This record gives sequence, C-alpha cells and structure tokens, in this order.
Amino acid sequence: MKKKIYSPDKPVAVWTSTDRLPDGVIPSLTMILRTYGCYRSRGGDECTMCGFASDSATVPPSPENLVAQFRDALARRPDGKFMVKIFTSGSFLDASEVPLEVRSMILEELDSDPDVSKVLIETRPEFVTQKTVAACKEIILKDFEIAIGVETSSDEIRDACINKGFSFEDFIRASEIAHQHDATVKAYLLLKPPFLSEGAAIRDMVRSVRDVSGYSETVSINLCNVQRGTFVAKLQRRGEYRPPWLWSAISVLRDAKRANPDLIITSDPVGAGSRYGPHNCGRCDRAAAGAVNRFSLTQDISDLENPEIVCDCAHLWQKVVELEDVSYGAPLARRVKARP
Amino acid sequence: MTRYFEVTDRDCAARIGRLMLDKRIRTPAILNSELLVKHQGSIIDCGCVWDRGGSPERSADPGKLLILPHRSLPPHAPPEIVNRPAQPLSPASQLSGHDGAVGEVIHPAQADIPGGRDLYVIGAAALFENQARALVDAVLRLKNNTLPDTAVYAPALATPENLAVLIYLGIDLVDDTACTIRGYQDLYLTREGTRSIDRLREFPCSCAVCTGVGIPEELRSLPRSERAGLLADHNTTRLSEELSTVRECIRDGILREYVEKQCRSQPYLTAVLRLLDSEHTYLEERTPTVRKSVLVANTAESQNRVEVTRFAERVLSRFTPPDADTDTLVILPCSAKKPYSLSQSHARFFDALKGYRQQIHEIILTSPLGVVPRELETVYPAAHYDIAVTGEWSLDETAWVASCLRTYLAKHAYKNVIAHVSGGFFDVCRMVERDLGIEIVYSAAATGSLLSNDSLAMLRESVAGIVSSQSRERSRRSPLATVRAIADYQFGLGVGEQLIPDRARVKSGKSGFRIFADREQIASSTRYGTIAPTLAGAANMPPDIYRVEIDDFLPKGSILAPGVVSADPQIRPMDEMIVCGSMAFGVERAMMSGREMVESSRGVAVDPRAVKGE
Repeated sequence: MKKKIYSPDKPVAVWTSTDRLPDGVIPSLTMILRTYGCYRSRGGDECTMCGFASDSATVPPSPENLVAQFRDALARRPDGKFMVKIFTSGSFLDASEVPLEVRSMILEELDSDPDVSKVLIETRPEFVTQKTVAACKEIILKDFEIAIGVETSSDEIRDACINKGFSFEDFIRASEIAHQHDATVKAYLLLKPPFLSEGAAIRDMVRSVRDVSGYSETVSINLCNVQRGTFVAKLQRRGEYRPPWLWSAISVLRDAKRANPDLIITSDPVGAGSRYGPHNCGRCDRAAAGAVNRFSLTQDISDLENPEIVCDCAHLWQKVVELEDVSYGAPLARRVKARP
Repeated sequence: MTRYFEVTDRDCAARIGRLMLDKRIRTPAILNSELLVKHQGSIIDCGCVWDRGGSPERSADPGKLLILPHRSLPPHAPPEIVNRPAQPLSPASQLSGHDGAVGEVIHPAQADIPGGRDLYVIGAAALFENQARALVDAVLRLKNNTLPDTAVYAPALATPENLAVLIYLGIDLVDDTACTIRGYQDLYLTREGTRSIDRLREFPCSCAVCTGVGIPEELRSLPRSERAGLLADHNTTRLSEELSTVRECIRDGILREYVEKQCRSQPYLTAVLRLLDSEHTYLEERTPTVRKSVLVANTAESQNRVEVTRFAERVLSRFTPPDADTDTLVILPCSAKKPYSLSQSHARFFDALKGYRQQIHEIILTSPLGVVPRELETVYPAAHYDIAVTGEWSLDETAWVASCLRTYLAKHAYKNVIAHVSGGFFDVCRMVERDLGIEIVYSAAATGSLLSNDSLAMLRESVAGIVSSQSRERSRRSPLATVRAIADYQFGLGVGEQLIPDRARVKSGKSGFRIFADREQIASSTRYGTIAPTLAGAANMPPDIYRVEIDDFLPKGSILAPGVVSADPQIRPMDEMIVCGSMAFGVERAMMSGREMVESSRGVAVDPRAVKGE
C-alpha cells in the first residue's frame, strides 16, 4: 500500500481525551510516535487487524527525530494535570524502535514535568523484562503503567485469528514483572477478531476480562475496526468479515463489569457507526457509542442500560448472535438498514 | 460408509433420503437452526473450538448425530489455518463414548476431506450466495471426494428462491437461518425472490401470516419485534412449501425442468445451472438413462442437459448404420408427434420413399437431440421430448444440431446424401456441407413446404436417381437391424449382434415388441423404447459389461447396495443390467449408478426383474 508523505519530526497522531483512573477521571494526552514499526511487522508477520504497520516510517527515524516527535506531541498538552499515553506502531520498550537514549530522555522529561501525573506506555510482553522495567522505574517515579495488547486470554484465538505471536503465559509473566517494580498493567482486549461469530466474540471477551482481571488494573476493550491494508480489510471486502455490533460491545461491558465490579473496564469505540468500525443499524450508532464512552468514564452499568439507546435493530442483532454460531464461518446480516 | 443415511429416490444429483437418527429426518430437509443452536435436535453441534461458551455435553446418545468441533472460517482464511492439523479437534477424543452418526464441517478449500462421516457441512456456505462458481466448486469438490451415501448440509444459505438449485446440486440438508435473519431484516421472501416490506403493496402469498395480517401496510405498522417474527415465519413457510415442490419434482423425475424455470429469478442461479452442466461427468453419472416423464426442452440450457448430450454422444459412439453397403442417406426433419414414424408427415415421406427404404438410411434432424437415426427413434429421449416450435432458430440450436450432423457425416462416409429439409434444418445442412466439403442434394426448396406434392415427388426422384426400386422384394426394413441398434445404444457397439442372433424373430404388438430365438424369448421392449433382455437373452451378453457381481446369496426382491461386490462403472440409474453371483443370475434394472452401488452401504441398488438360482 502506498504510504502517505510524512514529516519525520511529527508524530503519527496526537489527541487529548479523558481517561478513567481508579480514583476518578483525568485529562489525557495520547501520542502515537512514528517509529520504524513493530519488529514482527517488519519481519512480514503482521497481525490480522493491525493497520499501524502502514503508519510506521519507511526509513528508521533518528533519535533526534523521535525526540522531536515527542516534544511536538507534548506541546499539545491539555490544561492542568494530565496523563500521558505513548504508543508507537509497535512496542515502546523495543530498543530497535525507540533507542535506549530516546526512551530515557522521554521518561526523564515526563518525570520532571510537574503537570504530568501518570505515564502509560504500550509494548509487547516480550520487552517487559526485569532489566527494562527496572530501568524505566529508575527514571520515572510517577505512576507508570504498562499497556499490553493481549487481545484475548485464548491462545488459540490469539494465534489463529490474530497472529499475535505470543501466549497468555507471556502476558502473565510481563504482568508479574511490572507489578514487582510497582508499575501497573493495562490489558488491551480485542472484541471480534476475524473468524469469530458475533456470539463467540462476545463470550471470548467476557471470559478474557475474567482471565486478565488478576493481572491488570485496567482493561480496555478495543472494538475491532477495519484498517486499510490489513488482512481483515481483505476479508471485509469479500463480505467475509463484519466489525462487531455496538450492541455486542455494550453487552460485553455490562456482563464483564457485573462479573468484575472492581476492575476498570473501558472501551473507545474507534470508528463507531462507520462500516469499517463497530456499528449497528446507522440510526442508533451515535447513541450506542455514546453509551460506551460514557460508561468508560463512569463505570456505571446504568449508562449501558439507558432506555434512550434502545433501537429496533437490537432484535436483529440478537438473532445474529444466536444463529451465527451455526453458519459455520459466514457472517450473517452484513448489511443492516434502519427503516425510516 | 454410513449406517445412518439412505437414499431412496434420485433425480440427477438431487435425492430423497432418510437420516436415521433418534428421529427420522426425511431429506432434503430444512433443519431448525434454533434447535441446532440449543443442542435440542437430533443433530448436535459440538461448536466452534474458538467458542468459549462451553461446548455441549458430548452426547453419548447413539440416536444423535454429532457435528465434530470445528473452526469457523470464511472461504478466504489463510490455508495454513484451514489445513492446520486437527490435534485439538481429534475425532478420537471427541467421539469417546459416542457410537452414533458423525458429521464434520469441511472448509471449501480444505486439502484433505476425512472419510467415514455420515454428514458433511459445507463451511461458510452462506457466503456462496451470488457466487455461482464458488458454490458449484465447493459442492462438487465435496461430493467428488466423499462417498455417495453421505448427506451434505449447506448452512445458512437456503431461501425459497435458491432451494431448488441447491438441491439440484446435490445438497441434502439446509436450514431456516437465512429465512429467519431476512425476516429480521424486514425482507419478504418468495420463490420469485426478495422484497423489502417497505415496497410491498400486496402479499403474493396466502400463508397463515399473510392472510392473518391482511395487507403489508398492516405488517409495517407492527413493532419490529413482532413484525420480524411474522416475517421469519412467512419466509420459513415458503421455504418448506418450496421443499415439498422440489421433493415432488424429484419423485416425478422432473426437477431439471423445474430448475430450468426457477433459476431464471437470479442471474447467479442461472450461472450455477450452466456451470453445473459444464461439469458434465458429475451430472452424467447421476442421470438416469430413461425417465417416465416427458423431457421438456424449453430453455437454452435444455440442449446442455445430460439426456441430450448423452444421446448425441451415444449416437456417435455406439451406433453404426446397418447394412454396411448402403451408401445413401436421407435426412428428414423431426415431427411434433413421436415417434416420428407415427406422424402424418413421416407417413407421407414413407409413401414418397416406397420401395427404396430398404436401400437407404434415414436420419432425423431435431432440436435439441441433434441427429436421430431412424432405428433409434423410439428410444428415450427420442420419442419422449417436447420443445417449443416457432420456425425461428437460435444460433445455439443451429450450431448444436450442425455439430451433431457434422460428426455423424464425418464418421459415416455416404456416397449420396439427400436432405429433405427446410428452414433452420436447411441452414444446418448448408453449414455442414460447406464445413465438410461434401455435396448434399436438396429435394425441396429452402423455404417451400416439404409436404407439397412437388416436394415429395422431388424427394422420390432424388432417391430414384440413385438407388433402384425393390418394390417386389420385401420393402419393409429388417426389424432385426432396429432392435440391434437399440441394443448397441444401450449396451455398447456390437452388443446387438451378440444378444440378438441372425435367426431371431421380432414380434411387434401394440405395446411394443418381443424378440425370440429358437422359440425362446430373449428380450422385450420397455415403455422407454429400450430393450430388456430375458434370462435367456442375458446369457448371450458379453460377460464384462453392464454386470453387477453380488455376494453369495439368492436375492428375493431388491438387491441392496451392501450385497454388491462389484459393478460396471458405466451403469447408470434405470439401466437394464445383469446380476450374477455364485448363487444367482438375473436380469434387473439399476436403481443407482455402478459406482454408487459399490461405494454405498445402504439403499436399493437393483430392482428385480427376473432371477434364477445357479
């Protein structure tokens, strides 16, 4: 796929938002640094749904480039105290993406910034080692969270449907190391990777939340969206994949929260309402996504049960959840049209 | 090999059968998807290995059919996942304790199709809607690589519109998933297709739902929850109704005619029929040699159906004109009345040819059969077809008949060819004449009437100019030539001479003929114009063809497939054939193809006619 022209000194994206912490909500600054990209993707072993590969740099950015990107992003800070979330197109703790000196410099600047109250970085679990975490924690004395895209607690699904290349054991080991060094852990889960029926996807999430709950302080459920150039995009073009219904997301959040009331469970419905993102019938998408967003901040189940978000298409969704298990690999009701 | 599925009726690849579980399922059948989901039917789905909702209790009930745990994969899943070794799916461990029927989901691109199942599920079949090639490939690949007495299930695909075509492809089980989901999508299904209820002004249906609701407007005003259920009910009712129609067609042997009609509602369904016809072997093996119904050739696809292509192929490979020294051919047009000889037009041709018919060969040109030698005019389907006649010819028809005539004339070198034809047949003859560089004498004007006195006189003159009249000798053609030609057509070139010796006599009656040799009857005609040898006649048949070897028993009635040791693979359903074993010798009629007899473990293979102990 053709890559867009980019400046090596600008990050892929920066935005501000609000995040839920155990003791309340806080403004956040999210940045995606343009690194050389995930090492697995560079080796030709991409995850089925990951479109970040196309965001990564075509030539390795220099340490100066990366620091410039970071500073550019940090300048767009919200007012007051805030949390910083750093993503790359791969792993922040992979030195082949973010060189050691850059990592140290970024963490030093964040630690000394009085407005930054918490730092989150994302990485694959194989980079969470005693050495790297200790080194990070030596620099950063503030709240430090390691986010890991474990996607599901099922090794079969993670391997066959996502091609992630690590096991749940790897995640547990990373989580234990993080906790030994007083870092917290955020688990990213993926609702409806390719091949799963809507119902199987829902059940996978509820089960996964339960399985990761002992190993992470926060769980964020990503609703699989179709990113350009990915395997999932190819499937969708052929009608062989449908992104999850927002009803499924709501049902997962509700059931998972009920089962794990003390766990922070959030979801950011990226691309909601678009045919490439999680969607319902088109008429209720905005309301349904709003409920997901609201719940992510309040953690209050009643936000998911708000009668204002009820829509006719939930009947169809229910039938799909029920019957897709016996379609043996074919999505049902790919097109959903709301009646006026 | 299955103990649980038995086919009882066949019409090409379509079949009626029964799945013998705790409850008997008569196939083709519509499975209730809800029961399947809830594990409450006779078929228990062990679920997807990725589903973490917990698979059902592995039922040890031998009355249930277990669909083994599977991976749900769309058609374009990576091959390495599709073909991933089935360790977690190991049947041995899954089946522990289950001594009953077993089904397995087969991905359309799966490299190895494991044998020994009673049911195969076509993975992700719903995605083959509108994908004619993929659908035909998936079904045929499965059917060609599994035993004939296993049931095939296409999940979430069936609608009233496509059901006939699916069953014609050879699918035994469908479900009500698509009908239900479409109901929930506000779609109203009929045999004619899919309508959105928003655009429906009246119900073209009188099912309980439609009569109960009255008018579409009423239905639209109902809340979605209620409306969806009603629409799903209507859709499923229409599916069941279509299933009954299709089953009746199978019993009557007219499913092909029905499918040729029904496939018109969607281009992809028509494409399925055409692609299936191009997979000639698949259909040919399963198509009976004779049918009790009239072959109606109403569509362009009719000329590609097996009965037609098989007839043309056999005329070419199994027919030799009798009397090798006859070198004059008269080409005549077909008639609406069959066999042609009984028509008024042919009676007048015979008049015109009186005294010469002994020394000429006659062939009849017809669409869609191509070339019918006079000797074979009574054989199915030559006397059993009907076609729309307008005098206008399509290019396809002309080309097809011309190709039949061309190959016939190329194979049999006649010195003189006289064509008494007009219209499209005239064009056909001109094309062939030019292609082969031969000369055809036309005994009628291209556009004139063939039955005018002038034309008939010209026909007589054309023939008289070549051969001499033999009016004083026996002017009727030897009936032996005809019955031997029929025997050749049925059993292979040269069999006629072995079965029917020169001393044989043919006795014709109202209902056909009987053949005697040395006062013993050796064969009789059937209602399909074919020959049924008697036990005495069968003894003269070559030993290696149209023969089924059975185990050491004396059959009392029908012979079941497990009793068959070997069978001539060229045997087709409804063929006359010979059964022999250490204890029996008989002449019988095949109920399934030779391959199916050998590979099946259930079902009636042979229908008895006459049998004696050895």
